[in-house]
Amino acid sequence: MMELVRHRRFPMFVLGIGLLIALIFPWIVQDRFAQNTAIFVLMYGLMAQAWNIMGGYTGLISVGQVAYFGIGAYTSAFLYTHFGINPWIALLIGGLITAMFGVVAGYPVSKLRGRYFSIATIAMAEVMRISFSNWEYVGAARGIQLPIEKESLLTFQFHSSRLPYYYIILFLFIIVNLVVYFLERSRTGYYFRAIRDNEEAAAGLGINRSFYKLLSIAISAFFTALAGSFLTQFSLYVEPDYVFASSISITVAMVAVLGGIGSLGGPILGALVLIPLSEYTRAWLGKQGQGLDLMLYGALIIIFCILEPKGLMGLWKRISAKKRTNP
Amino acid sequence: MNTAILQVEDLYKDFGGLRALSGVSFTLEEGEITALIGPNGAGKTTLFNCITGFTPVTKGRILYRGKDITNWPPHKVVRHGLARTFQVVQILDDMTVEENVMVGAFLHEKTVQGARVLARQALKQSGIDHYTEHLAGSLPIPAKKRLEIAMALVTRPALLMLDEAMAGLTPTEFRDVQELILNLKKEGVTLVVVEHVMEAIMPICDRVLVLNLGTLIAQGTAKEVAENPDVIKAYLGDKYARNR
Repeated sequence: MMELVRHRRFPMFVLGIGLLIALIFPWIVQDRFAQNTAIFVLMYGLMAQAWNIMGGYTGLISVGQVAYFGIGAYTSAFLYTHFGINPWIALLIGGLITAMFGVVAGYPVSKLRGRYFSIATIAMAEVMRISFSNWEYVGAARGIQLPIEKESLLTFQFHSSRLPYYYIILFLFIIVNLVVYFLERSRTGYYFRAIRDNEEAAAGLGINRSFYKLLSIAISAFFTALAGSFLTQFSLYVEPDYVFASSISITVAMVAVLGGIGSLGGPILGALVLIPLSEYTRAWLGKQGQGLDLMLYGALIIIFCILEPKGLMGLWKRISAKKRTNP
Repeated sequence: MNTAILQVEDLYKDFGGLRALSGVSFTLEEGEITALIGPNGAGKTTLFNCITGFTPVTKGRILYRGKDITNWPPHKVVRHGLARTFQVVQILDDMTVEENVMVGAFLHEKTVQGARVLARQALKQSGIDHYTEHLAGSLPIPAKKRLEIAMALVTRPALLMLDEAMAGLTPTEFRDVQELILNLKKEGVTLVVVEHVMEAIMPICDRVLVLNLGTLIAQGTAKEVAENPDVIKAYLGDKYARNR
């Protein structure tokens, strides 16, 4: 069966409406838990979109994104507490250092393909967690505590309201989505997808595989580190088991995969559905401490994967295709 | 006016203990169509892979327009004007036909719009412009082979190497490919064609190279090669060579 490809992209007006809702959301919903959840939706949305650059477009399926997340978190915490560097600048430096780490650590790993690459990313994340747990200079297992400062945009600390945090993470989230939007429409984006589809063919068409793989890792690591730095400012402490938790890597990959990889809308939809699901099942069922919330959460994911293996974007496409055939 | 576009000098390729190419030397002249033939396992594809940088060379030299390109990475080889297709089609399954060709077009055109224009031209030239919006992986085999040629063409090669572009095609289909090859020659492209379908390639080539068990056993015009006893032996066995 030959397949014609049309209407591949998420309609832009939907994104526009979504953005509008996101901008006024905290004014409509005042509930603190809901606002917290919204912040996590955006934080995981940011990371899942960053994952999408590597995994969805370039085909480098990472299950170790937490390595970049943790390094970002630690770098900004460290720069702030040891050198008094402004959190905003620390955030940027953290991103750049992590991007460099991504390139250096990624160089040998990017020669691996498919599942072997994925396994290597798990190892990389674990090595980071264990290294930071034993590194006395950065507080070893105790981590780093950030001093509480006066609240202002400059200090990146807000105590009376969650709103500034919400808008900051929304801003970062919008930036990563813009990057993916323009990437999709650029030569680099085409090169990423070509490498994902067939490395030999890509090389035969003049693409320097190593360079473009490392470029996609660097961009992905940069934005994942921004999420890490954000969490540092949000919770005012970092410790290895918290910012290098393998569950973060898994959640990020799952948000992207469940949403539908290799498209702009996928990670956004994934984060919108999965994160509230996880937060609310935990709030309702997590108190007994028997992991009932995780069971329900896991069961929902399994059911979803069976019913819609192409992710939420697949569901979206099916619905819009149906609408087109019977108007 | 003949000048060498590609010189292969004493090329060896070992896969562990297996010698796939053994002292292969030849020269390709600018603007000619060369057929590379030989029984299965003769080393034809390995030779392609060595020249285009997909497999590292064990020993020997490859000169392209006088420049030593031995063991260059594939993307660098393409940029210098040496493109190829693969025996087993290598296309980008999850991208559209047009996008497949656009990826190659980006070599000469940085913008998406510009690349699309070049891609459309190449698709037309290879006769598959009616598939533009189809998913490449869903095409029938003959169209996939055409697409691969379009992808190679859009990189604007001076030397194009086709690895069994006509295998599995019906006589009508391979006549189209023959015509395409002859048109490319007219435009000044040098071609090396690996082919098993003798009737498809013999009438259109200027020269034939015969590879057997990793060694070049004959080269010359189609007629010379067809009468060469070593070639007959390689293809049909000792008995037929003696009977002639």
